[in-house]
Amino acid sequence: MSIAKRIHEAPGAAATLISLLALLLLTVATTGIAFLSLGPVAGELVAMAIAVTKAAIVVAVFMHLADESLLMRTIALGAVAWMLVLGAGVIAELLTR
Amino acid sequence: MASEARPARLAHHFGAIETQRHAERLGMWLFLANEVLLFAGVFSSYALYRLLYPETFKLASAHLDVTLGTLNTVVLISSSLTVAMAHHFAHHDRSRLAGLLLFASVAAGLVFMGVKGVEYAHKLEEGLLPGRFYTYEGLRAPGASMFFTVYFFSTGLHALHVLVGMGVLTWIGVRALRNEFHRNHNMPVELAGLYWHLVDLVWIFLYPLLYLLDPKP
Repeated sequence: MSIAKRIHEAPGAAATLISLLALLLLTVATTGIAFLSLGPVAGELVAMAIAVTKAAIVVAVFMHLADESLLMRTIALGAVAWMLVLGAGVIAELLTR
Repeated sequence: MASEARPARLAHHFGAIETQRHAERLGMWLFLANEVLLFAGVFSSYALYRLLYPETFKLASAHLDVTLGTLNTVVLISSSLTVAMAHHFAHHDRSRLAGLLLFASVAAGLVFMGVKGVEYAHKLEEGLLPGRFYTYEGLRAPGASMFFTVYFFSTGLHALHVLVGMGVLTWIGVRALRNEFHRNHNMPVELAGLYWHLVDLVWIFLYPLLYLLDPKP
């Protein structure tokens, strides 16, 4: 069996346009919410949740990782996992001084 | 239609075109994973200094121009759309249209760099600069110069990626305008697009982390 499990397609025009609309709306949302001063923790959580959602749209639709093989999805998630390990280490060091 | 008969370009060491395409995309994703790790260092240093100086980071962030930051976010997101559409049209035998869309993305990159230049010039004028070059009298607090060290390093590294991306998109755009790409051969458009989307991804996180800490209307 081929390692490429399916015929690889380019992203569809409709999905791409809907994604752009969602990304622009989320940009307006994150900017608007920042002016509301939700507090340091809530504000940061909302901002990061929106950023992660936007990133997921770009990765899944524009970069069509959703259609890729398990190997490629593992590489992408692995990079994110290593980044979180580095960030967690830095923050843990700071909080335990 | 003549383009329907145009063959794929199978390298001699691959048994099937799908295996070759998978290998090409795999190589690009490995490179992108490396890029994520490069920026991981930048984001970690941001986290470190922001936790050390939370209030100063808020005050310093208020000196960034939210309007220009938002404009650049919209410009970069839109350029990701034109790159994705370029891949779509290259895949549907519309190479020249793909080329035009790639050049629209390069134009968006130019706008992004222009706006960034205006922002940098403003910071230079006010003395809102990294480390010992920080001379701004309006905000004298420990950590203020560190905010601008992180700001210039992260946005500078990102801008360098925008410049490289513009170069790559120009190269692929010229090839697309020469009608090189079609349904059986559009991998260069796809791989260049993946790189450009990564540049967009990094900015999606830099924008709220730098510009939206405590924005003033």
